[in-house]
Amino acid sequence: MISMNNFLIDVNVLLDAIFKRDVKSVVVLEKLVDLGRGLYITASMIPTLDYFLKKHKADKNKFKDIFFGKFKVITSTGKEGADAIGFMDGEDALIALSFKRVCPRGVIVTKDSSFESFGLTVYTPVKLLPFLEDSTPIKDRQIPMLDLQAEYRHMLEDIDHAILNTVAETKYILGPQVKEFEEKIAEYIGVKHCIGVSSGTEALVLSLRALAIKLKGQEYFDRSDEIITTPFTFTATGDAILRSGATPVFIDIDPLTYNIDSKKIRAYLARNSSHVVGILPVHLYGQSCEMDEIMAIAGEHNLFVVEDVAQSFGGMWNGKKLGSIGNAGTFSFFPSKNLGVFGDGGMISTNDDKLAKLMRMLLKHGGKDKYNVAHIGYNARLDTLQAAILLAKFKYIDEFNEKRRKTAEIYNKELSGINGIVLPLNHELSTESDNLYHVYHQYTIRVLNGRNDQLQTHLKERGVSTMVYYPVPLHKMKVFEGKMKIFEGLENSENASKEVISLPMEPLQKDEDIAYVIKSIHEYFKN
Amino acid sequence: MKVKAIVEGSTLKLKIPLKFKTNEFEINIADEYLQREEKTVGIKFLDSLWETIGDLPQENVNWKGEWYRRLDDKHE
Repeated sequence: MISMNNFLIDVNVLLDAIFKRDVKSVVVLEKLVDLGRGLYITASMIPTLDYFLKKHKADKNKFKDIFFGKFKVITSTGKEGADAIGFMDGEDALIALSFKRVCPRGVIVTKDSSFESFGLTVYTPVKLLPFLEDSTPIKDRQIPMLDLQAEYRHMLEDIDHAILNTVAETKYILGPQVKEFEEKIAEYIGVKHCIGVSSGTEALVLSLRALAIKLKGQEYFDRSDEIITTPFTFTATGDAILRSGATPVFIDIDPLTYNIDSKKIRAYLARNSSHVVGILPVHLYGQSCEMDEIMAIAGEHNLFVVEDVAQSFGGMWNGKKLGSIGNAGTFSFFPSKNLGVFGDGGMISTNDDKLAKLMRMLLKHGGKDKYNVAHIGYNARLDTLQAAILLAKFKYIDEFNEKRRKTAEIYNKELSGINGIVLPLNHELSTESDNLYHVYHQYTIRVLNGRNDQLQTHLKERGVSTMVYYPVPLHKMKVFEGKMKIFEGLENSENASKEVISLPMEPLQKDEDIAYVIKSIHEYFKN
Repeated sequence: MKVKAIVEGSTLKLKIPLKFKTNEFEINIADEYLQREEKTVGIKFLDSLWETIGDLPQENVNWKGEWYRRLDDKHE
């Protein structure tokens, strides 16, 4: 059995079902809805639909609400329109060309044979039904870590509209969408300022640079200035500290949460506090660090805190959104992030007016305007086009985070009890607080006894993608040689880098695919 | 009104019983799975759409034919 997930319903089948003229069309459409398959029409089909709705005195507003809850409308481009003219049936060609762009492996359900020449799978309703009922296991099943195509299709009307409008408006640099996005996210996170930047890395660098200017009155920190962080993170975290002029101090992680161990921060500061200027905790995999303790330590030693929220958009600690607790929060909108864009993008959050002002200067070459440049700045603006896409995607973030949590719940339940793996600790379940919110950017298990490579290979052979975040802790990287400090041993980070595997975590993942991942893991440990 | 619809030779296997709320279809599918009494399914999505439509067509309709005629009339 092949995997059929996305279906364009041709207008004749659609009208037969909507106006109850043909039982085969009714059954196939209802069955597709029931199976939760992706259902599409093209914008070019709307006038026909509209005509018959009007003719049969439909309550079009009610119809619209129900119908577009299940169907997505695919935009047709001008080029597709021009290309369609070259075909025998231009109307059907336009439908097929547009659908093929969005769903290259999609199925057209039609009674019209003219669709057969576009390289798409075409079925009549009656021929399709047996396939929908077939329970034969899918061959060549592929389960990606995440499925950006599915996510695009899920929100394609909003995204297409946002892109086309923004391109036509031509306000490409710091256009109104950037401001709107900054304001919306500031309200969502609960901070005074959000500043869009070109990437999560630049968000870190700009935050630290702005802090150097504000706290020390100089462009960069001194190399003797120390910033405490975790070695178990993406290289950008440590790299940003170097680029701000300071020295990273790597402190080990808690082996259960994979976040920096606040007890060890305290222990380091008890012996070496004189050069430390700040703490840069990373909320790894979607889960908050112990922010009450980290903020208390920072208060006691007069340190700044910059939260690295790249992996935890929407996550919370004690009722506060991550990024609203420290002096600044830095976000990444890399495509794979919980809120991801179509390229690079990032953001800084802060309640500090002076920092916000400095950050806005730094992202535009360091000046209030082009000819009043006061600082060594960057070209690090968030593109208007990316901001427009982020605005379109933002309305799905809470729903998607909830879906990630639901998938994690299933993994937790179904993988518990396997000897040889350690499931991720969720603070929400291990503390009495009900105000923590893990957003599961990754669902990461620890595979004991040196079997993680074998498990990865086993899953790969079954089409299940996995990733290791992170196979090399930062203190093992050449770039940090001679430029870092290490506190005591970093065994927990080193062990984690050898043992962790992240499983597929896609908000739109089907339950059957999650079950397949789980079954494949069980198979491995039975052998 | 009753419409008799025949889907001959289908291997349709309905796990959930098939039932049309409005009872306007009579289903006669040449398949063992639909020879049972409980050949019914909840048609929730389409039922809710049907409720928004004022008058369902009584006669057979050639959708595209009518649409093209309508376009011809509009542009004459």
